[in-house]
Amino acid sequence: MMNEDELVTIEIDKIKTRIPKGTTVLQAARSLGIYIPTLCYHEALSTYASCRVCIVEMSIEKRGKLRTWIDAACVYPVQEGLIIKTNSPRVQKERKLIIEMLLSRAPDSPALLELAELYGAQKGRFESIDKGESNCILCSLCVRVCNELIKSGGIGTAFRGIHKKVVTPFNIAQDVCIGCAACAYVCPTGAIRVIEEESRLSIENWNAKLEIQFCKECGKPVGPKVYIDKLKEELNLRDELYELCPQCRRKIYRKFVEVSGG
Amino acid sequence: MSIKDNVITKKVMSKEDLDTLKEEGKNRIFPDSLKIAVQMATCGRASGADKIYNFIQNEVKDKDIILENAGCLGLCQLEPMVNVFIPGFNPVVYSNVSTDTLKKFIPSWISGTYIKENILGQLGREYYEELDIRLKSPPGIKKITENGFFKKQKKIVLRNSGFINPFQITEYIARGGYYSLLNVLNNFTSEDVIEEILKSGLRGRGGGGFPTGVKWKYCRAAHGSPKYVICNADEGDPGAYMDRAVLEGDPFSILEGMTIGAYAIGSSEGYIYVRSEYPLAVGTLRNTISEARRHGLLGENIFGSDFSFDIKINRGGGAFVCGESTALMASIEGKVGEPRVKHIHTVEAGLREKPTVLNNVETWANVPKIITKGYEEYVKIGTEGSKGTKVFSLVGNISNNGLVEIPMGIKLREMIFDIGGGIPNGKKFKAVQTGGPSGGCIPENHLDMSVDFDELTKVGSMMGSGGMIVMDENTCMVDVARYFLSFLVEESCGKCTPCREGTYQLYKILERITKGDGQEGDIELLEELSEMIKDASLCALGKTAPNPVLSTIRYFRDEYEKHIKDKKCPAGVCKALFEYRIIENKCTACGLCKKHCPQNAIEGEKNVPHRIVQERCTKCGICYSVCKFDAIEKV
Amino acid sequence: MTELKKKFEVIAKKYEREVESLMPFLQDIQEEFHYLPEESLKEVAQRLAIPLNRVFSVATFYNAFSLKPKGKYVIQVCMGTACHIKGAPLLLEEISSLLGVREGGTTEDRLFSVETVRCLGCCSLAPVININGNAYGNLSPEKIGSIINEYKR
Repeated sequence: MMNEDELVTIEIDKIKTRIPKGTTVLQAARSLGIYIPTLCYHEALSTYASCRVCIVEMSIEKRGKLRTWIDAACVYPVQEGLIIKTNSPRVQKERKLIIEMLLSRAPDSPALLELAELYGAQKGRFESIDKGESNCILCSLCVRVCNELIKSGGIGTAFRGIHKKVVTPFNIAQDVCIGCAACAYVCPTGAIRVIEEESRLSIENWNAKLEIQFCKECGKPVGPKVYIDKLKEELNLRDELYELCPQCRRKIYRKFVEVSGG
Repeated sequence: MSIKDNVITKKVMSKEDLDTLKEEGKNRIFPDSLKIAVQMATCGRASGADKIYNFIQNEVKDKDIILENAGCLGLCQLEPMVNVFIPGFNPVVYSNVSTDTLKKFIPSWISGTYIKENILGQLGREYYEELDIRLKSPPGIKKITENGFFKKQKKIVLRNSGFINPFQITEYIARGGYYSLLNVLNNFTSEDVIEEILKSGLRGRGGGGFPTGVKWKYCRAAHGSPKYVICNADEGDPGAYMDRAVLEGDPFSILEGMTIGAYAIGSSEGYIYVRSEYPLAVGTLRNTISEARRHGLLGENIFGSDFSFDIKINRGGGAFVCGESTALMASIEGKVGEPRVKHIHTVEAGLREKPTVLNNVETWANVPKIITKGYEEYVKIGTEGSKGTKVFSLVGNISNNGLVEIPMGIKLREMIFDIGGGIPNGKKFKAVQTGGPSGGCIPENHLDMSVDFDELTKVGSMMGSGGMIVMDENTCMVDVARYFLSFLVEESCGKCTPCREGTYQLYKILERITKGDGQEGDIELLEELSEMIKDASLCALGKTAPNPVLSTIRYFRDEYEKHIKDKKCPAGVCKALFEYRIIENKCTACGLCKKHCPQNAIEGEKNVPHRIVQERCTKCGICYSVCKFDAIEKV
Repeated sequence: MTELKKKFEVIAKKYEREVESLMPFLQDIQEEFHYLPEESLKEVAQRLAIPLNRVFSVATFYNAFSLKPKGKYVIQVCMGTACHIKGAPLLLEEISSLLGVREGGTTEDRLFSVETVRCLGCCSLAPVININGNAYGNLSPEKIGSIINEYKR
């Protein structure tokens, strides 16, 4: 049961509602079906609030004065009396510019081009320092997933400001990379290139070249050897299971299940 | 007691102990024999003060003369300076000393006389008002406060800099040091201290101008332990060096201030974050912290009370963004200097997510002084919204270059033309930049404004840390904006899009304009980008980054337009937009310019006026600066 | 143990196995070796039990650190605001042309490195340079030559 003390009254896009204290503006908007674009936000990872695409216009009355400001919805917590405009003229104008800045970094990104259309942003209006070659918007989702969730720590940021990049230390392939490709999975612009060849998985951006392990039973590719080695460390399963592909594994499980009468 | 180098030091436990050290300090400052103190802060050394020190050291070898070290009095361009203490007389400050002049000065001082050359003035009673001592005024020598540079200044934060030996705790005590801390520990509760600072109206001197008492109050009330106090000595604004003067000239005042602050909020751990570009300051602090500990004025059971507090030093890594409080804290935690979201207040969750009070060097230095005479005395100085004094670095195209401490509310005109002595070389005033890269330019028509936090903000600039850079008619305001943006591009941490990409785009546009490729609509584009960057950036670096652009457009729009439409730089700075030309009828064919030209771009034979070959000229300006006949002009 | 390893150990002994030691640890290595050797960063990561990418992030974020060896004498030309309007860019050009290195570079004989800084805090004596901790103020392109020659000896 929600304690009355834990709810605050806010107004979002003219809708008055009661939201639990501590909820972010983004979560509050989503719960009401209001769309706010995001790029560097992911539910499973810590917030970074760097892309600034989710900015909204907020106002609150304090001591008789109305204070208005712009801030990122993905981190800002609701408070009593907060008035939010997710798509005011000021927000639209600034969001359009931010998308244009991001397009200067990732001109070919489908996700960005979609946002551009939504907000009337122009591709090619600005040129960034690397001329958009990397297609990277420095949202750092890849870094966060690698370090916080997978906990391999193969990639990180280097340098600062306009020279900031996501790299492996010294641009050398890291032993700790297990080729899970979670980085590519979370990347909003498709800047991380994963190439699957016959016996090798490569992640070009990190110079990672990983040998694939094949299924002992059927010969199909299972995954990078180092990935499976890591699973061996973390999970406590029968040795033989690591040598098989998912389908063959299931066949073995069925046998176990039948035998144990479950 | 503590033992260091086989010297046993009695820890200070009471007023009597402090009085004993005060007496020692008095005898150090005013010894019975001749004393010469050389001002040895970084600027002094850059002017050759160490050579002077070594020379004097040699001269006084077998004589009964004391050689000392003093910080910086503030009038840096007249360094090296020495303070001469002839027993029984007020000290006298000599400026621009050299080994040559010292050769005749020293014998005269030994004989008890003052050669009346290069004397800045004598230091009067205000420099020893705490001491029971009678000194005579050296005849025929003006008080230093009659000097135009010092006349309108009011020294609170800088009262000891350039006078006492910064390494000697007894000299600091002789000037009233540590009596405030003693008073606080004996007679104030933590809440009393906060009340006192609140009532004093002290506002942060680092740039934010946030009421210090309010900050301390919130931190005291915050939940979480341990609590921390931090001194922001990252002074990154180019052109500002006020904090350096205090760090190198009166470091104990910072330690005392921080100790009082720690007592107020309930902290026992403090940090001083010093930028890596100040190695002398780091060394001075290490030394003084050690001294304070030795005397029981830092560490466990200060003054024998149950209050303990100690300080660690962290060095910066050469990143301007680490002057931002959350970036500074990240740096202490061993991370990159990326700021955190600002709606979480550091007084509640700061260093290591614990309640933290972060204040600037100058803010901390004010604290013991407020306690000394009470808030009632402090509020008499300054304006309604800005109490106390502010230290400014008055630099650039100004006759008197140096550090000045003025009561808030002084008129800008007074600062520039009275204290500063006006613009040198017969040039005209054009603008003064305050607040560093986060601030703005103030043009001639605002010269009659009062200098305080709110007034500066009203005209589109800000107080910032106190940099005040004076610019004359030969300064191009578009180039100034370009310069600041080039700085911000290099110093942005790169985390958020508006600052990282936005400042870069602002810079590229300004660069285009100064290179002669300005286009119709550029000013409007600069304004459009600026608005977004101000609103959407994550931290204050980004949010204030557009200020130099916006304020120069506000007051010097015509200069931008000349660059864009006419492709001309009226001030003669943007190389692509002017030429150097030799004036035929002034050229004496001396050949000096030709000799110095690194590009061999000057042609001419003996007795024939020389000529600059424009295609080879890189506009380095060397010919312009070496010509003794004013025969080269900018067109 | 090699001489380098010995020097490294002296530094490493000062630091506890915690993340917060990273900055001072790297600062000491930079001071001792005049740059951060690749091997040292890997050692630091191990000693502090943090991923190498964290060490690399910090090593490349801060200007005080260099991944390439610097010259014996590091000439820092201040490009602060006061120095800028008093002709620092000209000074930089003169130094670059005298030594044949651009900003950020090191001479062939590894004697000098040239960099820019903002700011050294000697604004009243603009323009200012700093060579290995020694500051020189009130400069002009003509005065630079003799100062550099002193170091060449």
